[in-house]
Amino acid sequence: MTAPSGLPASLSAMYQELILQHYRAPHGRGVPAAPGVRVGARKNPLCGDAISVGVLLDGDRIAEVGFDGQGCSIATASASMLTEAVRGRSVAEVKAMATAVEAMLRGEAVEGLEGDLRALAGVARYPQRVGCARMAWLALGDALEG
Amino acid sequence: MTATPVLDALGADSSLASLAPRADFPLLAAQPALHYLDSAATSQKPQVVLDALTNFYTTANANPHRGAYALAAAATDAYAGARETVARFLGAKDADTLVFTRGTTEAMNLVANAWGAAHVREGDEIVITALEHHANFVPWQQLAKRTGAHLRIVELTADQRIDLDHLAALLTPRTRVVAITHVSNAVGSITPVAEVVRLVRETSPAIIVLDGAQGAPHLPVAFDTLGVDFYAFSGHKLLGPMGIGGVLGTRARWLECQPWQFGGDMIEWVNDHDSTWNVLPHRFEAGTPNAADAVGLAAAVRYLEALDMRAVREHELALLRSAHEKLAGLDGLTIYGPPPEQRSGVLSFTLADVHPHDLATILDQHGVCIRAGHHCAQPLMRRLGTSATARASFYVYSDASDVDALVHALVEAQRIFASVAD
Repeated sequence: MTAPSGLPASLSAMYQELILQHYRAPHGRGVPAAPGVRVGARKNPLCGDAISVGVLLDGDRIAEVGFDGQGCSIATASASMLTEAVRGRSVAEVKAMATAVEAMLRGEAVEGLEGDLRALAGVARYPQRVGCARMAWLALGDALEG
Repeated sequence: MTATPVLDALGADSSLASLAPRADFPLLAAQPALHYLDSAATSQKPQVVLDALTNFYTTANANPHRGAYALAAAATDAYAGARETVARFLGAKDADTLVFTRGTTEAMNLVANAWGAAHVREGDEIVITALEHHANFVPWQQLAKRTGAHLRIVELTADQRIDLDHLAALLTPRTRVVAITHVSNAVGSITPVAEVVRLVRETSPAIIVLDGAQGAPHLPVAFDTLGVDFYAFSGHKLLGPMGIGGVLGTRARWLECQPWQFGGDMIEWVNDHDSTWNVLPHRFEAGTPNAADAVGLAAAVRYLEALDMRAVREHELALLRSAHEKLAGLDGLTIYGPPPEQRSGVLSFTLADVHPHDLATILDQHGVCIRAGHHCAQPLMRRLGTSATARASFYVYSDASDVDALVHALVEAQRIFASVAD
């Protein structure tokens, strides 16, 4: 959990190295092209950013997942982390995870979230940016409902 | 906060004082560390404007045009006086050709509906540009859809000015409307209005509608000599209150318009099955007018008149030149729009791989308020090949310290994003 030195604590809590690494080199770039892929897309009308997330289900499990679109560091890192976190999980597990992420972005203390995702907690201090982090998760929800 | 080596190299220019005393603006006076660089979105308000609002409500508040008592007459006089003052500020002799609206957006919808719907037919052509704010884009796009007219979009030069050759090529005898921004809100380009007027009058019977939302606050405007048919503006961008603006039109064009909103004030006589209409400007101001904000707007334009709009333009140009030079010296920084002389005090840019949204958050931590996003100009953003830019904009209370704070915070943003190697 390192961050560039000399920044206000809240800013370094958001712009953690982990976030910036996911922004620089996102994982899961590219919606899978396979037949049967379900895609959800969300736009942020405030800034013009757009993220789409595609999932390929194998029974009840997410066999493959990827994202496309353009976004800021928070939107991109969130989408990148999402693909890492949900791959191989059941739909029920992923929906619970999305609920936990949403609660974390609202600033609530949550348990059960693992790994890189926890780095998104710092975004809660910046209400104008919560929508950026939320975009990929809403797109995923659309894909699973669709 | 120590200056970075980059800043030292660029040199802090302390010679640019604000044109208007920051002490005149209560919000700025209360927050001396704030660097408000989002005046293209809305301006801060001087105390004289707030006083004018309070004064109206405490000494003249009644419903204008409706009462036989002295207080109602005072409200009517205050409202009429505001119209005279604002019309004079914009160079219109006939104050009755100024119709107050909520702002530019409502003004454009008024013209598109009141004139457009009465005169634009299937197969006609409406010309707008790729530079337009959505407020001067969507009303015409939708009018074209409703009427079956063709929407023509003038493309831009490489530095985001209106391509006059393309404009000339699009004009035909079927062109009914040419709606163009006076000054681009997104990149600041100033439209050469005289040249546009000449081109349009040469080849088409079209009316010319100018979006003055970013023109009226920053440039001297003389409506009577501009040669356009309608000129729309917003009060809140020129030191006035939110919720008041207007549109100037030539008397001849106003008389070609159909009423677009119906109700009190705009009628002459209401019969059971038909009605007749009041005279200008009331015909286009249905319902209780926003008299208090009009009075506040009048105070704002008197404040600007005292500063002198030529001095306002010179001040913004000096800040723009300084900021342009300093930002151009930063690695990875791209500035959009024409050279400073051909733009108003707006600086739109992107910084390498730092998304504008991230820039705005980081700059905010340094007390620097900028706009990040598509600036309600998505057609322009598509042509720039980006979804968003960062935009800093100046006004009468801006000074060199604002420019320096902007540069300092941008260097800081670079440092944060450079801290993680590729």
